[in-house]
Amino acid sequence: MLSRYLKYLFKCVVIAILVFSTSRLQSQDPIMRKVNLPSSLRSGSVQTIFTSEDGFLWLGTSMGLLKYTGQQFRRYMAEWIDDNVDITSISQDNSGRIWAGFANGDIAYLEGGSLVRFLPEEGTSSGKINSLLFDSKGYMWWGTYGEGVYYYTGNRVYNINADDGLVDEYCYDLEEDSLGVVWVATDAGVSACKVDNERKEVQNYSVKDGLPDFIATSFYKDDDGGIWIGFDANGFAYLDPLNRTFTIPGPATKWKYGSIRDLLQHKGTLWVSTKDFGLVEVQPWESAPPKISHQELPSQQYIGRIANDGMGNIWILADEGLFITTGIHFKLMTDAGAASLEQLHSFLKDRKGDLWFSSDEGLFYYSLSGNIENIITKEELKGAKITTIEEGPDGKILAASFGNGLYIIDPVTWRRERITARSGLDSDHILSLTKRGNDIWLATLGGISRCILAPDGSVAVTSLSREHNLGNNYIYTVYVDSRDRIWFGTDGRGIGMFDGSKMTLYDEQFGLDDDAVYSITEDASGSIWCATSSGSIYRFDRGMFNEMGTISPDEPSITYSLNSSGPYIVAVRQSGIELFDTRTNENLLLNSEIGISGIEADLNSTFRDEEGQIYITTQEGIILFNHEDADITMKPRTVIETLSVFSQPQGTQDELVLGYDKNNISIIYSGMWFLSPEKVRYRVMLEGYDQDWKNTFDDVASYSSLPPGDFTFHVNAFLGEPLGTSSSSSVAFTIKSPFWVRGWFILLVVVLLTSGIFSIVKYRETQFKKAEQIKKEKLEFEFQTLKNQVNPHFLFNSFSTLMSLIEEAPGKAVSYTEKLSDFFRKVLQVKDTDLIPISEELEMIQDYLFILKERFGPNVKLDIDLDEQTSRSYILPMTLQMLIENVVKHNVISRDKPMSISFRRSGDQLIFENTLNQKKSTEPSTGLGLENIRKRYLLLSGKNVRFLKTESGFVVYIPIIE
Amino acid sequence: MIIHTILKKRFSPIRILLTAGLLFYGTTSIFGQESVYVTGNAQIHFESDAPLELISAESDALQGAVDIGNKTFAFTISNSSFKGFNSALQQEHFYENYIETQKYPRSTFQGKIIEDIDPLSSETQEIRAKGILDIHGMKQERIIRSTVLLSGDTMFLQSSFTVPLKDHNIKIPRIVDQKIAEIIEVTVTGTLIGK
Repeated sequence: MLSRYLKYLFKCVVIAILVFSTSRLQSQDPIMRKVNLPSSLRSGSVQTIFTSEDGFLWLGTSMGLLKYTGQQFRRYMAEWIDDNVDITSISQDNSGRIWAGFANGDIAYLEGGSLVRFLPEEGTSSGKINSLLFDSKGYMWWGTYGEGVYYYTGNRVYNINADDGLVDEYCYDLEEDSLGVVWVATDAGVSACKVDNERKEVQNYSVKDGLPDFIATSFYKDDDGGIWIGFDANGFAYLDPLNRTFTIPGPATKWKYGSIRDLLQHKGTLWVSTKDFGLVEVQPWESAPPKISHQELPSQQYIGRIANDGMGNIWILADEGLFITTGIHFKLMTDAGAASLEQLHSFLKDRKGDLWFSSDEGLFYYSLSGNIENIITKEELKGAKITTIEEGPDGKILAASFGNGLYIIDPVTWRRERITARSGLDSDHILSLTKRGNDIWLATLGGISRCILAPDGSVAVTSLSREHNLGNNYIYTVYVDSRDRIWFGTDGRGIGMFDGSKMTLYDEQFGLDDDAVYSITEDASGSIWCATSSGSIYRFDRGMFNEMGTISPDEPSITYSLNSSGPYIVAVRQSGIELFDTRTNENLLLNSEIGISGIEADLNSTFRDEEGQIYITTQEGIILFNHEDADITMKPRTVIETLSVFSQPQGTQDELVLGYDKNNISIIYSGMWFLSPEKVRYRVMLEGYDQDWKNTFDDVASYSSLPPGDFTFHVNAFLGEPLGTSSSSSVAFTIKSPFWVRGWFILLVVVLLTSGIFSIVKYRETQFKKAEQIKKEKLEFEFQTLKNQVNPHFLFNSFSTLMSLIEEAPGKAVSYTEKLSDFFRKVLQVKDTDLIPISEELEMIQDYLFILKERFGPNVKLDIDLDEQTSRSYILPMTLQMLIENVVKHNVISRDKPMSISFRRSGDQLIFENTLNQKKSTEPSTGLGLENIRKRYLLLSGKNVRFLKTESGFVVYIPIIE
Repeated sequence: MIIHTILKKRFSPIRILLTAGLLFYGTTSIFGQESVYVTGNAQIHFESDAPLELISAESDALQGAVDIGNKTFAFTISNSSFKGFNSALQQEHFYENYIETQKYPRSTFQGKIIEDIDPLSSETQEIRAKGILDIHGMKQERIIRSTVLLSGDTMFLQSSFTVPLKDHNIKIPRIVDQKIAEIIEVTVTGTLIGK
């Protein structure tokens, strides 16, 4: 009686809450995260956002163009503008180049790390550029606020304004449809522009053509080529470009969310940025009313542009800053009506869509109409907890309790039945429940029990443990797979499997690290997965359990529950929600990404609904996972942004070849993981230089003084653990070797060296030959001189002179003989020297002249006119003596015909001159004497001796060697 | 249209000047300032900078009007008024072979101004004129940038733009294509007097 009274009282309280609080529907909110903008940016100074093909988020601000990589905001300034001018639109052309439109009408593109102003002959615009578009023809379009639309064909700018039939010149957005027609959203409707160079066809559509409002604010092209149009009032419409018809889908009628600022579609959902209600989520083709997503985003907050980044995230530009949401895959349900959904033990969404959930307060029922009822109160449970809720075959609700056995509730009559140990259960402490047809399998602290629900409502209870002598064992979980095999997790005996007749146990010998198994599930391909008490996760494959995932022994993390959704295995762990993609074996641990630091949950804390959505009961509420066409981004996206040589960004060319001195390379890259960028780490390696991978947090790698060679830079971005899945990117470049180590140069050097050596050898050979010749000439000369001195005539003459002297003047004869011997001695002395001073030569001549004077008396006259300096200069030895001897040899010397010889200097020559008085018959002349002098001079000094024979005399010009 | 017809009877048959006249008569002064400005002294100069020859010529026979009230304009020039060629032969070629003055005696540019011209400003104002450029019988839609400066009842106008020959179907014989540039550069300077 008392319990009934309490129950009544509780119902009253609940009803009171419902009546007196504003009625709130169960809300599923996208998990949203605020991105902190650089402090230099004033709040609200971001005008527009854009996501580029490579995944970066671009922000148009009054402080330039910002590129957000997750880790950094890279900033590009408009250098030609002095003031701060807002960037009001951003787009990307077909070659991937980023363009920006400014509030003052300027347009610029990004090149080599800076914004370059676009300057067509016609100018761009003087009004604010609200939209930039590159159409399929490659034309660039810009929509302006006040001047209509412009397009640039590649060499000429054309304008479309009211004169050309544009519905209005105040343009908000542009979009190209599947037929190549560009649509313009304006204050007075939309215009369809079909152009080809200067030919323009404009057609206008407004309220009379079926638009819900005049002011069209935004476009979004869907995958079918149709265009969603957002309006200032009255919601949105869908344009079918083939028929040019406008449809207003159900949820858009009676639109009460205010002016639409922007919209985008992801899968089946239309995300709408509204002025009055923030972000609104619409299933446009379904009858369900739009959902308002306002967690962490106050509905009053003015939000602007929204963008999706191709990685499952939606970006929202709000007055308060920039937000990112995981709304596509994860949502959070914090309450159902007046009841909190935090710290639940179990959860069920039945076939009608009503919710059942249990907490420490008991079991609750929440109907779609918004009513909430406490079906089993806390008092009634007396400390027991509802651990699992399931919907039975006939719509009955099965609630397994830890302490009170199994409740079977008829949701129509609210009649309750309780199956306990007294009815044959192994234990009243049930940890998990699973059903297959009319069979219900229970994991209890006493073993595995089976309840068979008969159509008449009776329940038969048996014990699998007792039937198969499993003993009095704790069973944590039980699971029936698609082949009707019963899998169960034991405490100490591993994982068991009952195929209807035979029982098999798999323990540590089958690959498990621990014999206590907490959770079991089956993936889409029929493989069994399980988690042990140590937290490790296994997949059963060919009789063995193989460990999956990244849990490290240093970081134990309990795995509370496993479930399967589409191609994914969802593991609810202490450290977060881990997803396994069974197609690729990639795994991903999510925690800060979905706004949690960790999970506290119960075993078997997941529920999968008919559509495959997984509901995870956590301390924060229910996390809802929807695999949405199974395209979850499992890893950061790695992009190499720029390669710089000496800080100069290089263009993106296929083959980068650098000179040998261009060897200071830095590479900037990014691993994009916008939901939790602080997790991103990198591994880099420069193939051809580095021996191994290097782990780093930096998003830039620098290499200085690289040697010549071929290099490929690789970067992997991964989350936390290096073992985690990562994506990679690489860039190759070549540093050429310097010219002096290249083939052609070496060849040239070899050729030059060889020819050089050859020349030297050749030169030396010539020198040898020359020296040889000098030696030979000298010998010849000596020989000639000696021959002359021992000339019989000379001797004969000398002797006859001597004889006459002996007779006439014996004293004189002695001195004559002395001079003669002096002369011969000197000749012998100088024969080995190459050069002698003129003075010495003259001395020798004096001796010779003495001898001659004894013979010819005063008829020989020598006239020397040389200064001191000349006397100290050199000549070849015996030159003068030889010349005088030649004179005596060829000339008559008598009183009638006296001989006069003179030496004098003229310039650098010694002039030898004698009177010519040739003998009629002379001793046979060999001509060797003069020829010898000439040759010796030529060889030794390179100068020539010249001989000149005139009527009256004979002149010899002898070079003086200083 | 009625005014147009009347004007057609009263003035010379040159259509463009008629348009100018229309501008003049069709609007009233705004803010007590002049609204319609008509050319007083205006020069047009063109230059063809080809690899083998630089051709330039000018004319001061540019006529036209700008209405800053309703942002319209019209200009016209007699093609045979260009003088200052390098030689008489060059001039003859220009008249007879290229611009074909017999067939196409005039070139015109008329249309609307995109920006508002502030009649009270004494600063240089940058404007863009969007209109139809008719040269050699070929009409091309063009946006031409100009600067204007208002001073008393005078408007100083300056503009330069390019005219690609192929846009206006002006054919250059292969033999002289090194002597004539593909793109002709045109400069206009002038004063217009408020009426």
